[in-house]
Amino acid sequence: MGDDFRQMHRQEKKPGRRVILPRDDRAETPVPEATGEDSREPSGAGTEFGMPDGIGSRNEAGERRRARIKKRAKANGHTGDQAGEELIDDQNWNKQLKVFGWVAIGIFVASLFFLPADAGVQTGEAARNAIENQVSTSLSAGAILMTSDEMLAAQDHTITHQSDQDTTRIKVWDYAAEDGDFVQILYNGAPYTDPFMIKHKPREITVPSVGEVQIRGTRDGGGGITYAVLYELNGTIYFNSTGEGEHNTYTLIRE
Amino acid sequence: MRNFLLNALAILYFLVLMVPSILMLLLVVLFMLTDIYLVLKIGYPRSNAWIFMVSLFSLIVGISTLVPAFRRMYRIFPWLFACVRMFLYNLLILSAALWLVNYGYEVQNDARHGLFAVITILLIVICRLAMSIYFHYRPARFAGGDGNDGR
Repeated sequence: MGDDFRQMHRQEKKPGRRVILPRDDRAETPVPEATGEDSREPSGAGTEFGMPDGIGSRNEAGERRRARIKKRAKANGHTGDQAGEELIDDQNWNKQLKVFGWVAIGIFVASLFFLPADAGVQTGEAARNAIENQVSTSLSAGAILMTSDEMLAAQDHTITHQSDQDTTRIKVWDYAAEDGDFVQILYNGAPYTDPFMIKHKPREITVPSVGEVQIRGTRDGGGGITYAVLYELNGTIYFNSTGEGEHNTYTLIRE
Repeated sequence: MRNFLLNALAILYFLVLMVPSILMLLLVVLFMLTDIYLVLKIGYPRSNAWIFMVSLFSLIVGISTLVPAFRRMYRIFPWLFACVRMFLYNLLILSAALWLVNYGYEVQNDARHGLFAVITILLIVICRLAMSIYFHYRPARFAGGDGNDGR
């Protein structure tokens, strides 16, 4: 009888479909009626319901579930065969829930990588000096100084260097609130990049090492356009601000 | 006593976390669709903060299906599992679309805008179709149903 049931169970394993044999076919398989005894028997109880020994009896929780199903089947006046189906249904159901649960946890973990970065605001002495002087050589790229946009004075700078390279890299980021400020890099007055949104994560751009690099504000997300720019030529960060349509000039001079 | 505590915990979890989450999700889906529309219309990215809801909801739902005591709520409310699955997948699709369109519009360039607008719309359409096909072959069934109940 157990073999017959395994045969049935195998037919059910078609993905996504639960095939119940026609009533006539089932009638040919002799299945004992549920006795309705107290259902806390150890393994082997499943055979009473046309279940192969072992299914659902791996642990106490399985036994309790089996007992619940057996009681429910008795209360509903179900035959042993129907109770067996209920048990399979219950197991499939729990399996589906578990699989979905792990999928949900996987989505949770994956989604953490896409959340807006909440970089910590620096409050040390270097940060205080940076706010005061608007220049820093001790902070690193991506340093956040404020949680909300507070306009520092707009400043132009002259950078003197001895680099023999034709180009240099700059990193631009928002040192205050990441609120959708947009800036554009100009070189000698001509657009050098498309306007881009400044975020806490620095955006790296390669610019010529001699000439006038200008950073123009193209959109204020609120509270003014606040940005920091690190020049690799001298390893210095300039904390600056500008308005929409205005710009700051960085004059690069090779000695 | 243990059963009573577990049941109380399950009820508390359902009322305090599941119900508000499901209600919020209805709004979040609308907010996300509005955000995507506004990005395409105005040409500037919006906040990705709604993606936080995906994290939160998937965690709440994940715990509710993995903890045996909480799983009972899906038996008591047979429609809940189907509802939660569809909500989560739907939210996932919209979050991906919002993130993508925001990423595309971070740089002001017409060609880039056009490309990302098309990719975003295609993403939503293709994912929704894939979701429909998936649920056609693997119906979101109700508890104890035979696979057709949840259609």
